[in-house]
Amino acid sequence: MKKFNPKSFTKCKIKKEMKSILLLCFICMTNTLLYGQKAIKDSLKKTLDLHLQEDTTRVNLLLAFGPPPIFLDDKDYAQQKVREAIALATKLKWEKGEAIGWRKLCYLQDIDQKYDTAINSGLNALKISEEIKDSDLIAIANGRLGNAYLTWGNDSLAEFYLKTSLEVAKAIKSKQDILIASVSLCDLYSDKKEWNKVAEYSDQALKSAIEEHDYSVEANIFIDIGQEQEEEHKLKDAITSYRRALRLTKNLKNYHGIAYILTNLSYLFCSLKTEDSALYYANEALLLSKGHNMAQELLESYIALVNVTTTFHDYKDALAYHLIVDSLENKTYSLDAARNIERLTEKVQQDKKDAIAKAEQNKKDADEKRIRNLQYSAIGVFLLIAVFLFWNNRQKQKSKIKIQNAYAELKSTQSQLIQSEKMASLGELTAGIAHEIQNPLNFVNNFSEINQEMVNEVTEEINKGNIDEAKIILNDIKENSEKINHHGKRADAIVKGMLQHSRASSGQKELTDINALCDEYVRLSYHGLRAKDKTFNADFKTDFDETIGKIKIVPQDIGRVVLNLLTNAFYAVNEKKKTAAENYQPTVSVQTKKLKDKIQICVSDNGNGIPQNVIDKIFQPFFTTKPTGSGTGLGLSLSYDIITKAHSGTLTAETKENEGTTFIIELPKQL
Amino acid sequence: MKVLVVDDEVDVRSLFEQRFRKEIKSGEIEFAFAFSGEEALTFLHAHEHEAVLILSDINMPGMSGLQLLERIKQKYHKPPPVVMMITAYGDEENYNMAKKLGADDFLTKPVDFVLLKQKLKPNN
Repeated sequence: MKKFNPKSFTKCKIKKEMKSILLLCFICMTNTLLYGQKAIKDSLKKTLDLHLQEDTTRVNLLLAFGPPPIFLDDKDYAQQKVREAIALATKLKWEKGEAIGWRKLCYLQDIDQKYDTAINSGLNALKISEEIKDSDLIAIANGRLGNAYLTWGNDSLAEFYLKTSLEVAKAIKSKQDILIASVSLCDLYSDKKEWNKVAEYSDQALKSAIEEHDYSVEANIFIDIGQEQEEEHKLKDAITSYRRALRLTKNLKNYHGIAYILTNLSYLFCSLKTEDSALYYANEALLLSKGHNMAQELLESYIALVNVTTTFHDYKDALAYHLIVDSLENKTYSLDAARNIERLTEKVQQDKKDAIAKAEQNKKDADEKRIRNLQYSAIGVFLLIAVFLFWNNRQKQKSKIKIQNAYAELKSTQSQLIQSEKMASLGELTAGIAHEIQNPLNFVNNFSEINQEMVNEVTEEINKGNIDEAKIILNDIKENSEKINHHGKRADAIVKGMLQHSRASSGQKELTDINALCDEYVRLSYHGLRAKDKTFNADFKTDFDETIGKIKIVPQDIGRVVLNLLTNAFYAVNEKKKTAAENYQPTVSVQTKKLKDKIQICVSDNGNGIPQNVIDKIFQPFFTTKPTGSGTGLGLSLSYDIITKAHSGTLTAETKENEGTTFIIELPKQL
Repeated sequence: MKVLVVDDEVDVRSLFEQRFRKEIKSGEIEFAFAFSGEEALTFLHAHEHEAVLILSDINMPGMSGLQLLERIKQKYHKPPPVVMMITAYGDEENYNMAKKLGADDFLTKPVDFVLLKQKLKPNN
């Protein structure tokens, strides 16, 4: 299998996005810190509902739903309101409102990773701001557009717009705009590793930040400094800088920022080979992103976990995290969006070309030679851009194919593992089946022999004229043949069960007696384990609700789930017996119950129970507490899939430490 | 003589009753049945010194045949009754373990009733 390092291909891109989000957040943070966000939202909604009159006040109210990010937890809602604002401003011919609207929309689309539409909105904002010659708006729009290009990864255009923003901001002495532009430029140059320029702009930013009392900018600058130290391999200094940034960011409750710093600290401790801290920070980041529903940060945390587990050779966990990253990646990575941006950028270039052509016509009498030179150089630049875009696109295609190949390999390995898991449980079954089949066959052989003897006896008795005696014997013969039939069927069912288990599941649902199925698998798993380990012994109890009747399920799949739960239960009680007191009675029980509109199957054991720190992981693929080689770690995750996906049911675990565990399957009656 | 048969299969009862119907009729052999090791111990406790021969399966849920054998031979009854072990596997391991624990004889499944009858007769 090819080595596949998720860190290298996503970290860089995500880093940029994170930084800009971090940056974007601080602008608005101070406004909202003093108030409860929910209260602000509610009163804003109320005010808007009262003010239905279509005027600039309503536009302003609608705009308040966009950033500052009080509605960030519901980005779709915020986008909807901002779009309403733009539409109303256009109708009222109020250009300023329109420009602000496009700028806010640009921000919302940017954090939603819709780079193409974000850049489009940013360009609209800039165009309108320039038309109305509002310097403040021009500075902010340039800064916003620069940030959008920065997140997308077009450094040259980002540099152009950010520098323009800084110039305009300096001209009108807008401290906040100077701040935003210089911090963004810091980010840009730290990505390009031009450290002298980083130093230049971070000085400027720090100065403005202190003047503005803006702690989040200070935090951002410490991140930059940390990054610089990281590049220069002063890892311990970098950790100190990041920790200062973390303290500031924590005070500001900027969760995006905190998650970003936490994952960076995890990487740093990895480089320092300090496993505990690396794992601690990655897990903190994971918890935080889960708690605040931050998809991008969640992905980044899992990638950090892959990095930690790989660095410290915990390959099983690494693979599990990798699978999660893979599934999350598919959701966020969109090639189409990237293509759209390219098309859009070309369109922007085309617009500019048109504008130049127009200017030419207006100044026909101007020096033609100079214009031609200008044209040549412009074409040269466009050619360069086109070549770059083409190359960029090729690179993206290549990496996409690489990802696809890695994914296909992963998939086939996974299906092989599933097959081997099936075979492993089949092996456990075989020994049980040998014993189970021996018993009914004994009865069949013995009772048929007895019947032969009895037929002879009946003939003797009839010859003697003892009709009553003959009748009694005939009745015995009848009972015996019923027993022969019963045990014959029992053997038949066992063989069928074995065949069903080894066959790939047909996936067909059929009416099944769930009690009979459970009973069969309890015996099979018990004898299977007995055959493997002579010292193994446990009591098993069954409590079946006879009113259940038949339900529609895929019998071999549900059988596998029951078998897996039972094998685990027997394993658990056996483990406890090794250390428990003399009077410990290992017991496994299976219970079926008819509920209102579902069927419940409970598999309980009185083993050691599942520790709390493990319970969340038990349904994850490759998770196992058994020693290496004893379990594949796929049993429960396959069971979980069978119950929840194929049968729309639920599989849950209830556990008490030192008292035991109960697994509960619930299946809807109508499937 | 009284024989206690221990097996978790319920139909073992009618099998033995029919296989030994002549012996039961003539009062030669009397049978009692227990369907688990625990039940067998309870029976032995209630009917001390009655059963002279115990026929026990090894693979049973709960207390296994070997555990039952150990209890009978080492802890409970003096003098201990004759114990014959029956198992589906008939492998060396179970055989040796049963011998070590003091089993008097060993039968393999499927039970050969002709052989069993022969084994029971000399005790008469």
